[in-house]
Amino acid sequence: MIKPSVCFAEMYRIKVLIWTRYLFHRGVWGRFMKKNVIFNIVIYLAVFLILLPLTVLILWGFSKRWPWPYVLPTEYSLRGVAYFLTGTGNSIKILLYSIGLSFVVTVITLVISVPAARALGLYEFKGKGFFKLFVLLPLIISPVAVGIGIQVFFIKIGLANTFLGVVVVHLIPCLPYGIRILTNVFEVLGESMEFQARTLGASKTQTFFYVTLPLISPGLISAAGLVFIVSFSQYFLTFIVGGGNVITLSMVMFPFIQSGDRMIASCYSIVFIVATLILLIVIEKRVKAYYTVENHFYI
Amino acid sequence: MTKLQIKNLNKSFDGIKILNNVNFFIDDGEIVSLLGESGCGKSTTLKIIAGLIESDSGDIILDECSILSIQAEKRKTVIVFQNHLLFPHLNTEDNIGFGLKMAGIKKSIKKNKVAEIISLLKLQRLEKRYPKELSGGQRQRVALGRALAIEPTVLLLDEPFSSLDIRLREEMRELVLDIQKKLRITTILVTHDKEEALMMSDKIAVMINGEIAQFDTPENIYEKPVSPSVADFFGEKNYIEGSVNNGIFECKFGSFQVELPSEKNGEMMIKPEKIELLCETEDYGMSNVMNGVVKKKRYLGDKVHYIVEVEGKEFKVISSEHMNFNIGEKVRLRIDFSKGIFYSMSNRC
Repeated sequence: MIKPSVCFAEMYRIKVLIWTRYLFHRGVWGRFMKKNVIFNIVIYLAVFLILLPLTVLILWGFSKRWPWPYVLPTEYSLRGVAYFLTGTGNSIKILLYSIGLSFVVTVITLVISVPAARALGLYEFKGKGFFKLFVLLPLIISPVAVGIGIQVFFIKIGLANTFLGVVVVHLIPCLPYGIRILTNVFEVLGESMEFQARTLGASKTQTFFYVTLPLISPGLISAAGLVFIVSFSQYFLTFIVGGGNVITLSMVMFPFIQSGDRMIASCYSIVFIVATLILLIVIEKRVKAYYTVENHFYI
Repeated sequence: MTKLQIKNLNKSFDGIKILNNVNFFIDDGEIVSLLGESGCGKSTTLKIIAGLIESDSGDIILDECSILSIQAEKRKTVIVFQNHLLFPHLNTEDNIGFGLKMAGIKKSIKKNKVAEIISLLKLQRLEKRYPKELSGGQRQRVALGRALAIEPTVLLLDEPFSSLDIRLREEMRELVLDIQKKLRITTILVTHDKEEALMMSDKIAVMINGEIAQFDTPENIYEKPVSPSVADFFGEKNYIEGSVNNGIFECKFGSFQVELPSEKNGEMMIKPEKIELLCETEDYGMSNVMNGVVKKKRYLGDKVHYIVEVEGKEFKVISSEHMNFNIGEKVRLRIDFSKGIFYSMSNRC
């Protein structure tokens, strides 16, 4: 006696076989197995894996009760939002202050990075290799380890607990990114455009503003975005050197994350992410509008 | 009147000598070609003239004044590079007007000048386009226009036509020549193409291994090259070893009458187009005729290239006659040795 399960399995197997051969003959099998489909699957998976935690985060920001087996929160509340807008935290002010601080850090970083990157990218000199590695040092050595020592020094020279002190200290983790990205940009750009401009009568300053700057602007945008994020997310450095005088969004957020008030912490996190995104978009739009053509760098 | 004089330029990179006492000059309104193989220092010379690189020693004299101390942007010597180097963030108009803008020229004057250049180079309707929207030939014309717009004292062209296809190349050569003659701009053209050099220049400076081997008019250089290296620049030549005694050239093929001073040992250079190929069958009864066999044949439409073997030696012959010889056919070569050039063994550079 043939077992029903075996019978079904056989039928199923035969069905699959027939269908596969059918697809083969229709040429669909080949298309199905092509790279495009697999590529698409991977992309969708990646996006999903990014969006899923974000969605959870947003839900946490508004959920009052979300016990275990439930897929969605059982009770919603706007307590977090209310706290953010009106609470004792002065959160809006702190947000703007943080943006301002990171903005200043970004500008100073870029102003230092451009000439440094130009030297590293275009010139040949003794110790160039050493400098290229040296610039990356803050990425290897934790800024926190250095921060405490710097605070002692800052106390001596009066920069401790000041806005300026925090700006200076933020430069430490930010400069490597700025210099690294822009060095690559200069290496790719080369000197030939500048040569051409100079033979056409442009002075070195004119060459820089009318030719070099427009051509490195995509790199500037990338660097600016990354540096801003690095500065905006600094917690410990701001804490040590700011000493309570300089309060950024990360610092306000931290206690809530630590103590486990998920709703408020999530609200702050959402604000953090949204603020960063908006700023990145604004930077990109502004610079692109000024220099028109996109992808103009790639001749 | 000498406009630009290059005196004793020397330049080394990383211990390797690139330029070795480079000397030549250009008269006002003339076009001089700097002819040489790739990597022999021609582009370096241009960059030194433009002020982008410093020479180790030597001088550059423009209008009787040394310009070595003048910065690149003030020299009014513009280079047009092989890869046009148009500014990708500017459209055609702005590219052409770039030099004028840097000089602070008034907008109205700039506009007129740009329009003039655009019509001169036939770039109408392309004013608002960006470099990536232009074809190769159009880009090269814009690069040229950009250089001409600032009315340079010396125009330096660094192999500007190499990246174009043949038809375009010929068109651009004609265009540049016309404009150069019309505007009388002193020009240096760097090239490795012998045809270009011969066709376009008032004078050619042949550069070999960082030195100027010969500096003369195209006719003189072609007819009377100063050494085998210079001669070989303009196509493969034939060399017959021998010696000259009292007006007679003696070699293994016989003795021939020539009008040359006596030289012990050397080579007689015969140009391939100066060798006449004759049928074997006819009886010529002339003394300077040799017997040979056609080994190779290359048909080029208006000419035919042959390799003919005579007593073990291969001769290159270029014939524009309509006589068609086949491979393996026996032919006779008539060489007019008085048209040859004799190089002594010591003159072998």
